[in-house]
Amino acid sequence: MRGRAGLVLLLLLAAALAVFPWVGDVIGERFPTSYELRLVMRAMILAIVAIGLNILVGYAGLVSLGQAALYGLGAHVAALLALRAGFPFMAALAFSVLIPAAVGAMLAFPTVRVRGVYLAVITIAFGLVFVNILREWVGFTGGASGLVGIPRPTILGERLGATRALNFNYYYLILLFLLAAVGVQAALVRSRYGRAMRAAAQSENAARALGINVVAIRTLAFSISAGFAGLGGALFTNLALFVNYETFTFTTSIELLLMVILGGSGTLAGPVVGTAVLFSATQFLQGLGQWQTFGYGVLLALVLFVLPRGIVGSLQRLMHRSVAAETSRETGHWPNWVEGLGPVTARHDDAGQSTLLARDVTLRFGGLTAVNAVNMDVRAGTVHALIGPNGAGKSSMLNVVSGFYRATSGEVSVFGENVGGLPPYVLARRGIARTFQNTELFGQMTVLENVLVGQHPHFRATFAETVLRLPRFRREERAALAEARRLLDFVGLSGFAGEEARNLPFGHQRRLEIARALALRPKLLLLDEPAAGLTHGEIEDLVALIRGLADRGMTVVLVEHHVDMIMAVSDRVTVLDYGEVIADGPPSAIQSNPKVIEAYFGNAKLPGVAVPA
Amino acid sequence: MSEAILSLSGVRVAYGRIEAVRGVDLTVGRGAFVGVIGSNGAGKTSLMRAISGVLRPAGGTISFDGADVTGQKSHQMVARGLAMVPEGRMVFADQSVRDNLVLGAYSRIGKDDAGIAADIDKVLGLFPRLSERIDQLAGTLSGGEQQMLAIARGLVSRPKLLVIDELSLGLAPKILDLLFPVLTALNKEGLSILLVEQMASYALAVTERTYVMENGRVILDGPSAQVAADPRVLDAYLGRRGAA
Amino acid sequence: MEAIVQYLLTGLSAGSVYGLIALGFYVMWSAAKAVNFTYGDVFMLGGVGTVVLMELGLPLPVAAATAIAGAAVVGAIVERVFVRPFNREANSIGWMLTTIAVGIMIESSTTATYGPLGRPLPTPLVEHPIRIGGSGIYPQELLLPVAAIAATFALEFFYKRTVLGRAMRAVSFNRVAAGLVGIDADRITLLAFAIAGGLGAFAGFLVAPVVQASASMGVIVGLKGFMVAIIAGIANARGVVIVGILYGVAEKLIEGFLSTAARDAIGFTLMILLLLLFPQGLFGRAEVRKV
Repeated sequence: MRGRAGLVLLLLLAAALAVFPWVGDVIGERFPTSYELRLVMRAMILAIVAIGLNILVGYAGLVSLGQAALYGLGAHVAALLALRAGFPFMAALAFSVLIPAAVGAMLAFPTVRVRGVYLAVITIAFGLVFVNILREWVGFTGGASGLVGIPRPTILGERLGATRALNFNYYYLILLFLLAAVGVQAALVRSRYGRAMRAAAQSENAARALGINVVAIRTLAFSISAGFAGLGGALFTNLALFVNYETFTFTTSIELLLMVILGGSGTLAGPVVGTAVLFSATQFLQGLGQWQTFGYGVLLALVLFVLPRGIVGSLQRLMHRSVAAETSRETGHWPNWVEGLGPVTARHDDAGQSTLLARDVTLRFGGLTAVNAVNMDVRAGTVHALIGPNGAGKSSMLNVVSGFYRATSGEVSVFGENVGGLPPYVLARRGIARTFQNTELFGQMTVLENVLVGQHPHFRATFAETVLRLPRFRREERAALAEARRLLDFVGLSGFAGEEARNLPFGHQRRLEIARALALRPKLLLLDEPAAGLTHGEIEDLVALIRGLADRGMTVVLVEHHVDMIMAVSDRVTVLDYGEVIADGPPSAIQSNPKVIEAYFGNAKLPGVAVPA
Repeated sequence: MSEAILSLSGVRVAYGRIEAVRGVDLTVGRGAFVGVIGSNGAGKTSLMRAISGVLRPAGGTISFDGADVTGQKSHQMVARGLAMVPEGRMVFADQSVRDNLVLGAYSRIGKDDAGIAADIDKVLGLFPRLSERIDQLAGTLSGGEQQMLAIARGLVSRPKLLVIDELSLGLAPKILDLLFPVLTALNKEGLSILLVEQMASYALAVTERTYVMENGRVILDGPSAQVAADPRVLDAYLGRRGAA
Repeated sequence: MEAIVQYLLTGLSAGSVYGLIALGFYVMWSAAKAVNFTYGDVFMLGGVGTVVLMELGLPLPVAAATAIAGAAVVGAIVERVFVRPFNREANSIGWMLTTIAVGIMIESSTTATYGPLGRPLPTPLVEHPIRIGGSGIYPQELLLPVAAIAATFALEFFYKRTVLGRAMRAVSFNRVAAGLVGIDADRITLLAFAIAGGLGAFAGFLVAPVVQASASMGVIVGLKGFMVAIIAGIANARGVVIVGILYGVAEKLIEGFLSTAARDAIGFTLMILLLLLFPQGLFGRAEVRKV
């Protein structure tokens, strides 16, 4: 259902573009003129750049205000290679894509540490540096007079141009690239790469916990986006046969961003629609003379106020709303052990083995000791509860085990190997899955997509196989979808598969988070207060689910407050207080331990009731 | 019970389409000491945020001190005489203990400095440990001392109702044994108190009336002694069933 | 040697402008965790506004005061209309785009009405340069560091000693907590943007006699001021001014010993590298740890 509006718009636009050069033959007028034809070609080129930017901004959630520099880099690489080194068109084009892609990868480096406004500033600065170099390095770039005399492009000796004599072959080449760009974007977005980009943008922590290397995926997004910009640049050079820095200033970066936002960032058709509309508007704005730039500012502000989701985004929302109103959704019962769930619990340690072994684990933040010399031995196939009052260090301990915190001292070994210092995504790939205390779902992705993200590490298809949608990719994608649906059946959420996760009621969010964690096919499942906010009935179901997983060989570590739930489900309990283990043993022994009672219940005297003992 | 200082009717709080509080009715009588208990995620903190004006309720009405205050912002609620000690204390860590206390009386600064000084002396009398640290930065205080400061800061605003969200969070029982008597004493002097607490046994022990929340709703309310004896509370929050 | 003194002097003066602007960004960021990307244009309004008002016959002090007050109002309007509605969620960046849009409008409408060329702002302090050794500098240029330092101390006094200043710090530290002690955080934020607006226009007015007042005088300076603030860690007044002055001096040294053309390329590259090395800023975390 989603994206249907965009697809229709796209097809119409493609058809219109394909017949555009020949319109004159039908209506019998001199239309389009070569000037008008060139305008449309420039718009198509900008659309290619905007598509790249959309991947970065709309999907990976990284705002670049320096995209024009990458566009300009591609243009200059193409111009210089043709002019100075006599490269043929296609060879120069290849470098115009690859060099900006490499530079884009370097630009991604800051995202390891900074995002949001910081990243925006870095990209602005990059753009300014680039323009400064172009303007001042006159000997190399021609400075203000630019690079002139770029030879006309040819492919295999065939001249390229946008004239009737050449059958508008360059026009169609650009159109071909544009369609390819649209196709690559669609293929990318509807694959594990696109899902990982969106996941990393919406909840970095959850993405890391699901085996996604966030730095790598952002580098990929930057790189692809820069490659598209470079491609656009090279096509522009061979159209204009002249380049100088003025085409690639900060204003162009803003213009590109405006195209993406106007069309609808994070939608497939958005950048193309946005470019088409904005480019037409620009032609109108040129009539404003010296007020043209002002008009741009007004337009940008208007779009942000009136259409923050962009044209396509708003249309989709309208359609989605009318559809959503009609379907009724039923919540299934859970756990629902449907056929085919075997692989989810198939890989596990042998019973009795120590799946998780913590020795003298200590964690300090500045002067505060959150976890103090904790020892834990979690045996395979058991449910091991970690309890204690608020602030006792339970969640900190969970964060150490899942790699989010690095222990100040001590040793953690999982599945028999020391894992101290390994990042969360590596641990996730080895088989540690977790949920979060305040559910960290990918709110703007659908319920089904959330589970699919959990399967990210299982894919073997390469990037090329994915973008070209070769058989191995399709096979894996189909299998992933089938398993994701089974997992939704398992937690009773099949009826909600197409709903955005943030719209789920709270209890359903917890279910979804568990399904997503199970999509990793973990050997060790860490649950951080999974019962918080659930009703009694839901807690009983949760107990059955946890028990069922453990019976099938999975090891579960459970951080919880609900005492009776812990008693019902766990094989062993470790009690923390002030970061230290104050008790460890089977549930029955824990309950009568006076130290636990005091730590947990305080020593207040209840009116008329004795403190439980 | 005399006229209520605070009364809620059908209050709902939503984050996007998710409802954290789904139609809560709650009353705090003048001079009463009322508790709200419930597990993590039950909606207690969201409810307190709606009462104190940090969040705008999605529905229902809130009246305070005889006036409809639904949708008023937190600074307006302070002016009306509601002080909230928020979850996590939220002291101004980069300012001294004294400056924190002075800010507690923000609306009177420059108009009633003598009154503020007197109020500060009074709250320091309640928490002598704060006067020892009066010129220290609030960020350097221990968790218990920060909680004392947060309560003291709330008191300096001369509230008619003191709302405390998660008093015990991260505090040792012996600190709580120090804090609760102060609250009881304040209540005896006539201050109305609404206490949200996860450690149910404490709340039930000091309050006269308790509301039990689960899943955004009040599932039970009544005199605290009666609530404490209710099997549902024992099961859910005190783990009696397993122990028996 | 003479050359170095000259670079240091002009660098000090140019850097003070960056420092003043960074100070304004710091004030806005503290209150709202967002800034006003029109700030370079607000700075410009200080210079251009004074020139226009003087051409209309107002005496210099009145013209300047009016321009500064006008810029403060612009700052407040930008906060209310273009920042607040787009800064509701943590880490949202909508305000970045809306304020860039407003910046484009201010700059282009000024260009269209005032003209693209710079005009002089005559003050007695740019008539005769002072000679220091072999180096020359206008008294007006020396006024800039004085103003930057004075503004820093005034701001520190404001934050530490006045009720409004302490309320602003409270809002900066925790908006919710500020509301709970009775502070109207929205009003305080509006005020912070107005103060920053006035401060920026003040800097624009001070520098206009030296560089001439033009519609485009603020764009790059504003951006540099923001980067300076970010690199300083945007955590305290002194830090941002010090980094601003250092950056100004570094620019003049690059101009002098390498080339004028390479100034911005090297300068911005330097800033990118510093930001990568110190993602929290030079003074960002160190300050907290010292306590």
